[in-house]
Amino acid sequence: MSYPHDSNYTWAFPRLPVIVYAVAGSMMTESLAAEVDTGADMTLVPLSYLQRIQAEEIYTARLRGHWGNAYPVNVYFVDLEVDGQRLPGIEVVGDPHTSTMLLGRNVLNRLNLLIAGPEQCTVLLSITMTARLLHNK
Amino acid sequence: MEATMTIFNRVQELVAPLNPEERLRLIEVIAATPARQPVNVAEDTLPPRAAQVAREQAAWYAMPSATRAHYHSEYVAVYQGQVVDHDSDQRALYLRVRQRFARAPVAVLRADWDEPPTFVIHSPRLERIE
Repeated sequence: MSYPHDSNYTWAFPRLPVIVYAVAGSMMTESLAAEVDTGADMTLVPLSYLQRIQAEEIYTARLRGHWGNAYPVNVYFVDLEVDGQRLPGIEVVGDPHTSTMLLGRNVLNRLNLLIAGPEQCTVLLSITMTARLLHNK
Repeated sequence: MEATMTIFNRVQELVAPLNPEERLRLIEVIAATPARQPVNVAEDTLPPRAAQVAREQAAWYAMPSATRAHYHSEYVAVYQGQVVDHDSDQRALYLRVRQRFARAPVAVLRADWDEPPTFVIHSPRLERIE
C-alpha cells in the first residue's frame, strides 16, 4: 500500500502510518502519521502519546540539532507497528514540544522503503519485492 | 564567541611567564581533557520518575569501568544503584524487570556506553519568513 506525502511543507514530506504500543500491557495509540526522517538518529514520539499508553522512561540522553544546540531528553521503550509490520522493543525519544512523530534511522534501518518522489508517495516493500528490486529477479 | 575570546585572552595572560617547555606541557594537558563531559541532566527539570531513572543511570556510569566491562555487549537494568539484571535481548530484559519491579524506576541501558548518548537530528526545516 502506498501513503501520500505530507504536502504541508515547502517540499512534501514522506510519511507512514505508525501505531505505538506499551511493551508490557495492552495500551496503544491510534494510527499516527509519522514523518520519515533519514536525518534523525532516533525516532521521536510526542510525549502526550507516550504518557497516554503509560510507556516508561528507561534512560536519559541528549538530543542535538544540526547546528549544535542540544537538549536533555527521556528515552522510552515501546513496540511499534509500521504499516502493519510489528517492530518489537524500540527506543524512542519523548518529545514534549511537538505533536508530530518522526521516524528516525533506528527504525528506518529495519524497513525496506520506496520513496517515490515524483509520485509523492511512500511504499513499505515486502522482502520478496526488495530482493527482486536489488537483484533484478 | 565572546566567551571563547575571553578564555583566549585569559590563557595568554597566564602563559606569558611560562617557558616553552611549560607551555608545551600545558598544551598536552588541555589536549588530553575530554571535549565533552557526560550529560548532567538537572534533576529538578525532570518529572519525578524520569529524575529517579536519571539517578539510576548516574549510578551506572559511576561504577568502575572494570565492573561495567563485565556486561560487554549486553543491556543492564539498574535499580537502587545496583545492577539487578542483564541480557543481550533488551526487550526480554525489560519484560523481566517489569515483572519483578512493576513500575519502579529502573534504568535499562546499553552497557557499552561510557556516557549517556547524544542523538542528532540533522534535518533543519525551511520556514517562510512572514
